[in-house]
Amino acid sequence: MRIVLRFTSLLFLVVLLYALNTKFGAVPPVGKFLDPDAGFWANAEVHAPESESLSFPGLQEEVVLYFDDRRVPHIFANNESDLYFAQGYITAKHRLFQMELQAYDAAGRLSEIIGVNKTVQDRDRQTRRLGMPYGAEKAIQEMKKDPRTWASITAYSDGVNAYIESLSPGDYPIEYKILDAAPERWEPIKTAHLLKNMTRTLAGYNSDDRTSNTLAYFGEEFVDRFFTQKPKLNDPIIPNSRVWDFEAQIPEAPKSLFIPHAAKTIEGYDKDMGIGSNNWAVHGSKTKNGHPVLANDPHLSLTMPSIWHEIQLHAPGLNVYGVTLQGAPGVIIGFNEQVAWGVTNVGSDVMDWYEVQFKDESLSEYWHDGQWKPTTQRIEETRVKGAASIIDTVVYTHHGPVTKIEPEEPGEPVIYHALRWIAHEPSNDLKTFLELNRAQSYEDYVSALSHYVAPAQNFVFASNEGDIALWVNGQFPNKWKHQGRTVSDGTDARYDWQGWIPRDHVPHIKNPNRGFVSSANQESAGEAYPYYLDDDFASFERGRRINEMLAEMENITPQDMMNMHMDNFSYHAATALPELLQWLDTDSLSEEEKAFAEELANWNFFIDADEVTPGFFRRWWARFYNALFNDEFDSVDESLRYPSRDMVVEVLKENPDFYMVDNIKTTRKETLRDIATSSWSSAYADFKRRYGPRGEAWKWGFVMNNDLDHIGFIPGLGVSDVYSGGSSEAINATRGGYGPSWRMVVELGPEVKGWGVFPGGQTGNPGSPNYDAFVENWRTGNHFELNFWKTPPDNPAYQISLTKK
Amino acid sequence: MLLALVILITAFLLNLLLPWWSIAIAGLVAGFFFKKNALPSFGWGFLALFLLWGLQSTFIHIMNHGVLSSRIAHTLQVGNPYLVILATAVIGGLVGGLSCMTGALWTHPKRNLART
Repeated sequence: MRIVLRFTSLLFLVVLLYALNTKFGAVPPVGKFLDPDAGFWANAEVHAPESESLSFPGLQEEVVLYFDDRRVPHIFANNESDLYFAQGYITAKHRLFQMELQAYDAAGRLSEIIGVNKTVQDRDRQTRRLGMPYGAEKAIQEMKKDPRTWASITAYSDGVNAYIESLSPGDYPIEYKILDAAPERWEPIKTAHLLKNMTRTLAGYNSDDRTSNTLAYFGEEFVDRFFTQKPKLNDPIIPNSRVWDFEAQIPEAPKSLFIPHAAKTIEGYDKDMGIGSNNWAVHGSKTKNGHPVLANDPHLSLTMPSIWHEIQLHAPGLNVYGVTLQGAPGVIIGFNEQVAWGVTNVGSDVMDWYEVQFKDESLSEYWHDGQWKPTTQRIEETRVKGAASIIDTVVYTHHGPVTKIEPEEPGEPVIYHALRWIAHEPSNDLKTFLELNRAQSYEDYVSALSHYVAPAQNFVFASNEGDIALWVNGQFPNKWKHQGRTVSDGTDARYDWQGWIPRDHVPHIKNPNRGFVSSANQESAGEAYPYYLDDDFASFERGRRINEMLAEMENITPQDMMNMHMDNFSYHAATALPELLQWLDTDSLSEEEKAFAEELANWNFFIDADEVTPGFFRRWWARFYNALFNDEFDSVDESLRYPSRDMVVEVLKENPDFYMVDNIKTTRKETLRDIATSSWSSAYADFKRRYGPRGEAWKWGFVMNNDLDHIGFIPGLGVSDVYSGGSSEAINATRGGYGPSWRMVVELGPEVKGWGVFPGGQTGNPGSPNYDAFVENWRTGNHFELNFWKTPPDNPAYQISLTKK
Repeated sequence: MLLALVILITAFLLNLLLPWWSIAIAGLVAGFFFKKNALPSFGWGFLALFLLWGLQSTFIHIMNHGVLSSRIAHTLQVGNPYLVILATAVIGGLVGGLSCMTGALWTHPKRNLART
């Protein structure tokens, strides 16, 4: 009897310990996770950080990281190698999980840490078929060729690894404990992966298949009207006044445009509507104290932790402050003692699909330019935690990796598309940033930009010498007009990318008469610019607003620029709402609705958090837009390209009888009045159902539903319901989970001054009060004054000294 | 009582150096040497580690102003940080109780369940 009890009890104990030490599905190992010494409790910060001294092999001299009260590290080093070592070290200390997650994601390796999960496996496969690891391998070769870049990356990696090696499992960031995983060694190629991920985010979309289908189903006139023509309110980045004093050699276009097989949509290449940014610089002639002022706010997905991390890097010949990407040395957006710079995305078309003809099912040869050419193959092995590896063979033509499009109906032909994408070009984009960090003048800036390939950015610039400038910068394929906006013919060399726009021909401007430069992702240059870049730039709305405000302003102070960051004026509302209200049949409305229509009519078009009008307007517009197009678009099986909102308003104003106004699903002929009124009613009913009678809950700050989710979507680790104003078409482009990821204003001058704020905190540890410490300042537009030190501070909040072991 | 105190202190020290399951060693060894009956052994073992993990996590919760425990309460969908502390204490307690009882059962054969 006793023997049975003994063994039963022991068995229970062993089973219990095993179960509590094992991860089941998404549930972390319970015992390990709850352990107060090394489980998640160990991540709870129980006292403010304290100064420490550490020593590591790999350092040359002493390097000290001084922290201010917001925990921004100010690294003072005696040489570049120690500087980047320290940057790698502190980035890992603050953001290790984020660095690793981004690198795993960019390399198609998420399955390795997350395990069997359909969504994750699809993401990994797509990453690999996109040629992300292929592009990163090419990039790292290019980086190795430049000794200074390579030295920076390896020193940074050493710093990251020094931190990783100092960890015991109890010190791991909390996410590893939830996933029951451990950090791996940081290799320099991960920096290349990270940068490719930026290219994917910012230049990894196209609508070739949609445009082809739209052309096939709705015809040339529709495509011309909505996609070729530009809205009258367009206000290009490089103003129309700019004269282009060069001869452009444009490749000859085919006589007739290739018609692809009904292009099934290839999933995962849609434009992320939350991506966008603003930047501008004003000349000293327009500022109060006579020095240039520069501003930038890149709009990205708002996550916890933030994509950005603030840092100051100080070494002989270098003193730079700004924000960094987690996994790359140097500062990406920032300023030094002489210059400041910032970036916004260029929506150029640098991703094209080609329909490829293979000789046979082996896919070993394809027809191009009158001959069969051999393909190459790349074996992609994705390791999966707790399961067998997945092997995928990706075929490459000279265009790039091939994706197979399965027929929807049996008997239809299998179609193959090859992808030509800028991310596969060899490039050392990091060199641009490392040189900008040290730039002293306009010439240094232009020279730094010359190394840059992708993702193309509008680099705004201002210097102590009084210059302001903006280069629409990147490597752009030299295309015939509209080349690659539809699916291209993979057999015809005239559809290939035939060289690049020469460097000094890319749109740029220095010290224009108007006294400012700006960009907000809109069209790069006006009609007179001879090269074709894309037909799908961001709407004019933010760009026009910025230009109008800056044109009017004089005696500008940095505070004015910070206020401008929070400007919520909506050109979309200003152009669309008066029309909608005019079309609305008010007689059919209830008294309550009439009163609300009156309220909308009196609204000033500012998308402020406290207003009840913006949320309703947006809902109404969305319903109206759907009523206008969905009947026609849904009647086609293929995916189509939807017109942008600014063109829609313009077309309807000009032509109220536009044929798509009629609902083809009904026998009667609808008018604008009908669809404006029916979409009002449905939006109003929807608002009442969701938010109750008109009141507090209708306020845009709530309706926007602005959540800053955790990067791994772990519940509880994000920040929910950040009550905010703004909209994607306003300068303050905040909108549910997307928006200004870093707001920075810099005043040049003998004492360069900076202000900045991002939604998040320096540390990525959710157990620290610093994790979300900046969110409230970000929400209310109170930029922090940045501590830009020329010498080590006397009284830092704390410091970490790293010495040679 | 002494048994609980011995387990608590041993487990605390072992857990500082070894992975979390080392707390079971404290229970096993103390249970073995104290030669108590199975059920009281379970009770004292449970109490010891319930207190140890409960107090440790409460201390962290207070010092951290509940920043992390509130987040984890959300992650684990229990809604309240005190329930996270309770869960921590109960898991500790279960391991403590079961290990101490197992240790006791492997001791002198004459003391058995029937006599309690």
